[in-house]
Amino acid sequence: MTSANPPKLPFRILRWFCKPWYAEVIEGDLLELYHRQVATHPTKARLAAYMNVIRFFRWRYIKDLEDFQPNTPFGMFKTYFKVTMRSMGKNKVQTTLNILGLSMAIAACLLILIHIKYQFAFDKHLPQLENIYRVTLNERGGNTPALLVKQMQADYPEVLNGTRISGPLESVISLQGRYIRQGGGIYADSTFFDLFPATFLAGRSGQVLSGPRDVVLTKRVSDKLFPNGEVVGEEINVDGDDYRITAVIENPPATSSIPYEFILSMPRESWVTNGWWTGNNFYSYLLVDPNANIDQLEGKFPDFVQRYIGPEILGFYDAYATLEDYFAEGHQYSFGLVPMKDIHLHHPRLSLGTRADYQSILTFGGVAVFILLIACINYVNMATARSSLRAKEIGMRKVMGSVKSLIAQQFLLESFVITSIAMVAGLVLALVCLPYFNQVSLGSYGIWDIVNLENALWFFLILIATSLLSGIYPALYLASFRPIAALKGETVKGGGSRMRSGLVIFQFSISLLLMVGTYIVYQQISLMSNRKLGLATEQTYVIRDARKIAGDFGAFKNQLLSQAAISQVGLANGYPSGGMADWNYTSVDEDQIQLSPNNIFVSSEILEVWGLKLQSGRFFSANLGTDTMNIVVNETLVKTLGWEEPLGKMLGRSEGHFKIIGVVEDFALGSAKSGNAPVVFRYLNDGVFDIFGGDYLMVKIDGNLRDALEHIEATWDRFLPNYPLDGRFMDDSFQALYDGERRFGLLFSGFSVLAIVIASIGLFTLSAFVLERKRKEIAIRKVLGARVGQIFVRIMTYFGRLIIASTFIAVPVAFYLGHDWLDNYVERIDLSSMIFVIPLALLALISLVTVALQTYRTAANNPLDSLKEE
Amino acid sequence: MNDMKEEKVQIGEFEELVLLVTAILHEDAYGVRVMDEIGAQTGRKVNISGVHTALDRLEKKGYLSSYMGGATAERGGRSKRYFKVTNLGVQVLEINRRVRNTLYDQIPKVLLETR
Repeated sequence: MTSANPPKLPFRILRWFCKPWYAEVIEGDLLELYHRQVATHPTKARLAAYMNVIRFFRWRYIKDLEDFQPNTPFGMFKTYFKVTMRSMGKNKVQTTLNILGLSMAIAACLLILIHIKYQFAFDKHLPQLENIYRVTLNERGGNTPALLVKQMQADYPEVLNGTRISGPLESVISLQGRYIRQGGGIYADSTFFDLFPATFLAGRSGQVLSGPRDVVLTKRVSDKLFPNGEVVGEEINVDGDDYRITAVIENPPATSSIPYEFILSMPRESWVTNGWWTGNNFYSYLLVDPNANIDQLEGKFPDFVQRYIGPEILGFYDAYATLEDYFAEGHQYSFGLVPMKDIHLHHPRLSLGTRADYQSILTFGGVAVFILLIACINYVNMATARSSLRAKEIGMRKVMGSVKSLIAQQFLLESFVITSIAMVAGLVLALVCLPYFNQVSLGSYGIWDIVNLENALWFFLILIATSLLSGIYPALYLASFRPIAALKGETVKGGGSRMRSGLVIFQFSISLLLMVGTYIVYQQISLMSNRKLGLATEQTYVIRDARKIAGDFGAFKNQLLSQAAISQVGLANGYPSGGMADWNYTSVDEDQIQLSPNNIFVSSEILEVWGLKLQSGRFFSANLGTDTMNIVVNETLVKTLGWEEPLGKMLGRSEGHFKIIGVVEDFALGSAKSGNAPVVFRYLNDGVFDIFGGDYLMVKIDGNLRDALEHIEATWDRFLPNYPLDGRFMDDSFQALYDGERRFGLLFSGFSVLAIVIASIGLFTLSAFVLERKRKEIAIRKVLGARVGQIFVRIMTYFGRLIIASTFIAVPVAFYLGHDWLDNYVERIDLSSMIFVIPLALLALISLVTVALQTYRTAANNPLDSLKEE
Repeated sequence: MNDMKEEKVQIGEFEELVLLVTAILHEDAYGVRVMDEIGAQTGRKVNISGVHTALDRLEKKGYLSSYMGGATAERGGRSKRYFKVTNLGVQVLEINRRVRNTLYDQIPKVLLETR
């Protein structure tokens, strides 16, 4: 038979293209023909086999799609999918609630994701980001001396380039008789674009800031000032100085820690070109050789301080012979480098733009994960609770030959399908919520910030993570059923109930944690907005650009006072909540204590306008005219120096010695984050008006607000026609300090509510299920004489116990985290027990109401209805 | 059973031949056998794939039914697919025969005798 062996190839071809069922018969016939012929004509027989196979290559015998399935797992997936759809259809309410919870959690995750991605995108557009460093003074100060960049470039070869920036400032640009208020102006050296390149729309990229009065406009400002026509070469006036426009550039992206709107060349004045080594007025950015060792470079800075700054310090204070003596007294003077890439997230004080709060970014990241976990737990709890209903199906599958891994696969697919639906719904939900989210988070995210290719990968990750988190435990749990027991119905106990209780406790703990967190944040905000400031903030109207009316101040003031609602008008170069300068003073006594109080130049009326309370001595007097060398201080300054009798004591500066003539009670200087600090009031009279600036006009309003404001506007317009008035109440300025906290609170509470809603959905479905299973038990109890109340209490006790257990987890964590957060504030709420009791009561109320209604309905049922169905 | 109308019969010449041979072979009609029988009875040399196609078509039309069985060594253990003429198939054969006979009977005797 060896020679009679049929050729393999034609039959292999046949089996490859032919439907298996036909192939069997055809193969048989062909083999029969072959064997009949092979003895006499072996070659012919072979040829015939080939020819016949080719002849059978007909449409009706060729495999179609169906015939490929049995060899792949798709066939099985198809049935899993079908079963998933059926089981979803069978429990429409639970499936809907499951998907609802998951989609809300996913929507929250997506929103938080784009927020976090945005925060991490800062300055990433800079091509040399990795090599740009900001020089800091004394570890955190952003201001550095004028000559620093130039000198470091000269002294250290690894410093390749550098630029100084100052600003940003609010300016008034005047152009052909129009005045336009424009923020975001910065002064910069001509090397600015070497470090921070921009896209030039007009003008040449080199040398655009090299002239003494050059200005580069961004497109936004250029469009505002010159809606049409040639821009480059035109002149504009910025805050009184004429500048020539040398270029127009694209605006930097929103994710820039230097969000300029226009750039002015550094003024050619001695304080800029040379300055003095102890005068810190500039932000210094260095471009460092990528191969340089940054630690080594920083290591050279103490020597730098010794060489350039030392002589100046020793020149000021004759008390010190060497710089070491100065340091020995506890003084500090050191430079450091902060990588540009860390500025936005880790050194928000150094950012010229929006300040990130890394702690809150992390918090929201955590909240996102927790919310997702809560939703996943809902799924896990429902899937395991309902397992008894699926037990027969699983038992049957196992009997029919399915193995554990296949059944686990099935339930994972089920969770994947549900998560996929939730993902789509969540995406839609996130897009719907985007406008509100933008309002609260101060973002300007668009649809394309959510829907884009890069996010697709994130979506996929979230999808996989969510379906695994929610699917893996139920899948393994269900797959481990023993088939016989499952078919007999022995697992109907609704197994894993201990696990479920644990997960519910976890959910409650997170909910409680978030609620306590929200409560703490709101209590703190309320404390801060209502704290006693020691100032008449609601009556003080602050007007910028007081210099503009410097020449006519007397007339202007008299004009304002003619309105009955305006009771006093004063001048100051700074104000509480609005930022003030630190000046160095030294006590003029044997101690020579040095301190840096807030230094404010004020006119004599400020005591009344701000509503300060004099503790001892007197305030400045316009009538005496001799107060230029006198100062008024606050209580804290006196306490700091430890003086028993401060009046008459002297504080010294390079300009001379100043005598204390009065002490005012402490008043708030800024946010509750900082406490009281020493303050020195200097007298602002006509003589120093120009030098130290009466930048702000302070108007005390005592009467009808609207009349007063109308009168202020009319008067301003008479003195400065067309010049925009920029005024605000000091109260608003104080409240604005807490904008960050308010937004944090709003977002945090929003997500907390979401977490609680999702947890409640889970509790609702779970309790409905538990009660459904206990229907007979309850009915029998009633038949045996239990009252509705007893049954009600019995079931509520179970859920009550879960809440109590979660309290023990959540409260210590909340206490620790709350304490940590409150450490940011000098004036802070106490973490009293009420802070935990109120959210706990609220949580208990929400969850018990969720359960109570269903419990009552079940308990009050006629037991017959539940028992007669057998 | 409802009888079949003449005009409903759809069958090709070769298919009719295969149907007839299948009927003749009775319990022993499968691909190769049908092919052999056609060769033996008519001398026509037909291809096995053509026979299969015709058998499949006839089955689809309902004139034949099939069942598997009869694996032998020379077929490499592959089953045969046996065909049986259904009642409908029998009716078709009868209709065709009747139509043919009716037509044949009307041929003038002269024509037949001149041969």
